[in-house]
Amino acid sequence: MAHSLQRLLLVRNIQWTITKQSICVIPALNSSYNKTFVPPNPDPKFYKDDVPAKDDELSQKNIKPAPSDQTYSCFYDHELHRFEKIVLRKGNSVQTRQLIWRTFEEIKCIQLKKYNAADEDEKENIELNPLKIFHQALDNAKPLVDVVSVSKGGASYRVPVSVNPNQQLFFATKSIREELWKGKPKNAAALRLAKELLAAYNNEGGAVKRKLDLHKEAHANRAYANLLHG
Amino acid sequence: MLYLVTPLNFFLDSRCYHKRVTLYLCNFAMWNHCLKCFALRNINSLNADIQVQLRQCLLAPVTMVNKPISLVIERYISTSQHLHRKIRLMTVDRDNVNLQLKKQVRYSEDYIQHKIDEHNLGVRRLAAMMGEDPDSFTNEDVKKAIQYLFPSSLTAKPARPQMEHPSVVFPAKIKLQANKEGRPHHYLFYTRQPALYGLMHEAYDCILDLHSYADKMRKMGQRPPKPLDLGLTHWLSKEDIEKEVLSSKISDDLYNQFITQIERLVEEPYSEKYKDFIMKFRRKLVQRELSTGTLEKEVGKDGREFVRCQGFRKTARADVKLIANGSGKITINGKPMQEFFNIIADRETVVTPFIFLGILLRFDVEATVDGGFQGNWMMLHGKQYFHDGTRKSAMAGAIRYGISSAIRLFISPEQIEIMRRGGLIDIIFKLVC
Repeated sequence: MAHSLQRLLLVRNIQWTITKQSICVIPALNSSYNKTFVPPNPDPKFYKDDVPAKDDELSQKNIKPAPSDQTYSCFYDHELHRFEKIVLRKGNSVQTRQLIWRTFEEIKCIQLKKYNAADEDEKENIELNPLKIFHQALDNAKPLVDVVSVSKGGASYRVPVSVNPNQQLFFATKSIREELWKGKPKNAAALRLAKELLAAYNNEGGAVKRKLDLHKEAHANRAYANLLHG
Repeated sequence: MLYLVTPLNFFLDSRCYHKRVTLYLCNFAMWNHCLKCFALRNINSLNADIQVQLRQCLLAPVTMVNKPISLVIERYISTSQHLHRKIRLMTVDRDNVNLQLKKQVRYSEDYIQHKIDEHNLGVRRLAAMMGEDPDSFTNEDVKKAIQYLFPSSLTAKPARPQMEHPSVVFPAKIKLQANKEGRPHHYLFYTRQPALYGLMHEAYDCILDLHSYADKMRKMGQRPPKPLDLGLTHWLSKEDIEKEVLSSKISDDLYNQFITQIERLVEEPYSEKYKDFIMKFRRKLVQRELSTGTLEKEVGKDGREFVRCQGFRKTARADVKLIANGSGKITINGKPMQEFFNIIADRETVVTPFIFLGILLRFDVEATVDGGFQGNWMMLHGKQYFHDGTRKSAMAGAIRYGISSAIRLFISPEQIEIMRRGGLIDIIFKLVC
């Protein structure tokens, strides 16, 4: 067995051997590269030009290698990519991808039933594209303001604060994920997710309620907004 | 001031005839006059030789007053134990110093050169002992000879007998940083990083200079110019500064402080005056040559060109063969790709370099792959779970790297630059099992 292994890996008089020591654990992903290294842009539209611009900012920077997740396909969606990683469980990316495909199927089935049973006037209002429903549901669950606890003079106050687009995304997906994990496992996960996305699309459900509670708290504490600039 | 080096009863003591005396006469004429009278009064108690010399000095003209008399004392006046110890240490023999104090001791260049000559002589003698040619006696032969002559079974290798070149034992880079008396040359020696803090002080001096310059120009009514344009350069990294500017290592905080200090200089108006100082710490990105290296095109039996290449990812190793004028077929270990890879994500990773450049159906690929989680070694020795043949992402990554490095021979250099910006040229350096 070992002999056949070595024959497989013999190329140009360079011999590679796989031993127990060759499998090692190195801590902290971020320590492999210097902070000056820049990650590549995953959007394929960024690389449309046949001739890259000379004396660009990128020409003077080192670039990290692209991970194996990154495929420069035309179906790339930033919010979907982040949604996959937040809903991940135990590093099982195969399961999450199957989840997402099945939820989109379920959404399509539910909407088609409505579409076929509706009158001609209402058919225009029904949305059949599951991607658009997904994006609209996330937009409805994104908060505009966040509340942060600040201690001043011995007392702790709740202060309203602006939110980044990345933070908004994370809050929306997290609130949808928490609802998913509350449900019972005897019901299929795809069905549960589909119903929650449709509820958020219609401004109903727990994800949107979480956002409205945040807004209420920020509105109540709007007097302390000057404690934190920004 | 008057220095009466001897006690007052010296003049009266007749046993001091063999000693010499210094009388430092000062500028004040009164003091000189008093001294002269005192000495002349007691001169008869001294020896005849001293009497003669004293008389010559004391009765000399006024111009000689400020110079010391040519008699010098030869015994120490204050004989404390502290002083004696200091003097003894300054003249100590370096050979007998305990080498545990090596970190505190700094060796001079002459001393190291002396040791190098001794070492070279010793190597030649060793060669003569072993009966070999002394001119062609390498470092490895020295080690083997000493292992033969002085065998030891000590487990700690630094404790075994060794014969190393003195440049390894006495690092000559650490030059003497202090006088014999212990006074350091650099005024910032006790900060432990004199070079770096010296540069920061220099930058601050430049900032103060620019403040006063800007005040002058403002009084004359001139507006400040545009801010400094540094061009397409970036700051030196921490490792570059350790190599070039300093000889020791720094912490991250110090490095950040150093760069904020120089960025303050850059933000000042009229900072073009000190542009040379700033550009010492700025560097252009010198790109590696993105050439093909040792890869070569070969021609097969069909007349189609092909390229062989290797790919790596984690512990997976792949041998990839890219064939031109193909129809998009991919075979791995004899099987087509759709059979080998059950998971669709792995198929996408194999195909990314083609999709990135829009060249999907122009090439054929033949690859052999082993290693990683589903490789032969793990199947035999690893734990038996999830070994159902689905987890082959390392193999896919290895093939992807092999394809992306082989495609560079069929592509223009501008497209190679685009691939570099897409991150498809470097190996993924994350070894996590």
